[in-house]
Amino acid sequence: MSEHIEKIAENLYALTARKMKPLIVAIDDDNSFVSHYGELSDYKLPQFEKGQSCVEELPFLVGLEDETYVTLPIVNFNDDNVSSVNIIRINSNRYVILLEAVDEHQREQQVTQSSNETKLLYQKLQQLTQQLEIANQTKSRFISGMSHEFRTPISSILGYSNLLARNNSLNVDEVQQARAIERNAQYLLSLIDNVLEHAQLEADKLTVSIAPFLLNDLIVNIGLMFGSDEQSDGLTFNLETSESLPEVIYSDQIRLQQILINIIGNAFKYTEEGFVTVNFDWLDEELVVKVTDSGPGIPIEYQANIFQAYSRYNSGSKKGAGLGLNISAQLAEKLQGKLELKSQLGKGSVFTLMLKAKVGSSDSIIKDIDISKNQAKKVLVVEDDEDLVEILKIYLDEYGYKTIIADSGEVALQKCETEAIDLVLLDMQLPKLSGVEVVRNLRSSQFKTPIIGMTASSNNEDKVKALEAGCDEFLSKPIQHTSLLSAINNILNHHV
Amino acid sequence: MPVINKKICMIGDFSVGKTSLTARFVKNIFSEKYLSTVGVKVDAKEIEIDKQKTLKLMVWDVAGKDEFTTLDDNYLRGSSGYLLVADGTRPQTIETTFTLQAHMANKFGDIPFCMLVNKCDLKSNWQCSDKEIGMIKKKGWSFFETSAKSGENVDTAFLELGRKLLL
Repeated sequence: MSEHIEKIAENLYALTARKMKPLIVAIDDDNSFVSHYGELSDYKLPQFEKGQSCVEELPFLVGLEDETYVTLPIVNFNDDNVSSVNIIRINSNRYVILLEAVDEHQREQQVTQSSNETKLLYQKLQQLTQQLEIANQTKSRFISGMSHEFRTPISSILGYSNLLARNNSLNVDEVQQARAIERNAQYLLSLIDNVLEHAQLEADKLTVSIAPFLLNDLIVNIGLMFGSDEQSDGLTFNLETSESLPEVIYSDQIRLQQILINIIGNAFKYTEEGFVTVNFDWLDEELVVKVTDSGPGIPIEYQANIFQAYSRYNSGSKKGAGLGLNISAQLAEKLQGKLELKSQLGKGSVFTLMLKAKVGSSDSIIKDIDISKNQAKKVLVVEDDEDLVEILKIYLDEYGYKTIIADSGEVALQKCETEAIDLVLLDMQLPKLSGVEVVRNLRSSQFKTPIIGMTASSNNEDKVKALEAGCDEFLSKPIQHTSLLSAINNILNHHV
Repeated sequence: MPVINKKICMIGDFSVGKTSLTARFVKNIFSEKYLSTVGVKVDAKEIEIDKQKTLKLMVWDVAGKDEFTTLDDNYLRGSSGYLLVADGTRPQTIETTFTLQAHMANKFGDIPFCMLVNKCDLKSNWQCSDKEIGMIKKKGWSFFETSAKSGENVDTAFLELGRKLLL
């Protein structure tokens, strides 16, 4: 039995040895041939004369003369000789042991080739991703810049049209004309905001700010916005609230209002006759708002993509960029909620917003701002846009504030040093000395007066920069007179 | 004129063009096809240095390495010098040469070398910025922008290394 095993082992050994084609070439210190064992022809080597240099045929010998032992797993030499090479020094001779490594080379080559090609593709992908990120940042900067350029003049248009509409000397037609200007400017602004917010959502830069607020404030706002005859345009507007609604919830009031304005605005836009009903309910710790209309309805084939950007049904007859629903759905997600649609052609649509929200207590809400006690206080307005300065001055005068004007950061610093000022209203995008630099400068010189930053950019990063620099509050242009006065009073009433 | 034999190594990240540069230098050929090197391929070519000395360069085209793999030092032993190769279209390959040079200096001491940023025929697609090229220049290394495809600066770079080997 053991004889057989030995025989098999011998045969296997011989077979393996034949396959590996072992060749041993003995050389001296000068790489000259001494003797050999094995077939030189297996490696396309000539018959060497004793003392003949082997460097031409075995070029890998150069440089290794002083080595005692070298192992080179795969060496490709003299065009297509692929072998494993070991060089061992024993006394004055060196022995070059060649073993065929064609199969091993082939196997490893296939693996390496495929791995390297994958790595190359991955690197290419990384490069492209990087380029895309740069392009995206450039686009965001461009949109943000354009937004600023648009918002500043719109701010003036909105402000002046609002002043005109509130002017008692105008007749009804003239008031309507002023309101038309205001409405269209507001629409233009909402378009710009949508484009900007879509870009920010794409770049995942839009943040939400969760805070407690009175749910009723939001419902009243919605009622005021859509309940007037002018807004409802002949449609019946129903605002329904459930008794189970909590008084205070934790969410982002501004973003929530934005979602509702979008979907209710759409309901009004597409409904020719009948009604728009908004129902607020509280179910399983969720705020559920249903917006039902008697409009034309949305065909089933459009419903699947209705929340996609630029997707618009019946776009020919109505204005819009096709971003409102997309932004609303994304904002709903950011607020841990979802937006759903049910619609039947010819019968109308129901948009349902469901938001998970924590219930808060009314103690956490600051209420009842006393405007009267802030009258006669001095407000420094730092703004380089003359039209906007004029509007801000009118707003502030209306409520009895005294206005001091500075048209640059440099003048503002001077005024803060020489005059007793109760509040600074500061444009963050001033030429030369920027708003951020002005704030830093003032804060570093122990100027403790509250500062409200104003910017035409609605970019959250700008807001963070302003607050980090030392602003107490931040307002986005266009500055509406109610939000301005509310912010000023809030700050002055709570500033110690 | 006696011939002096010297071993030099081509070192760099994978797919930077080490094999193509060697083929251009030794055989004056170029192939667009990418075939990754396994182990080492040894070629030889004689060059004349300033019409005074003839040098036979044994060019060891060593398999490319990246940040995740290490060089097999057995292939590098006995080198008189080396060419560090990077690919101008892939800035990370320049970073790799910095690591490889440090490794060579640590293992084999202060031996001559030149830095080649290859694929200059694709210069419009180069991704390496002035910052990376500036870093190479700041190091004071002999530096060539080469193209194995067009042959630009290939012989010049090998010749420069040859000169350094004889100093």
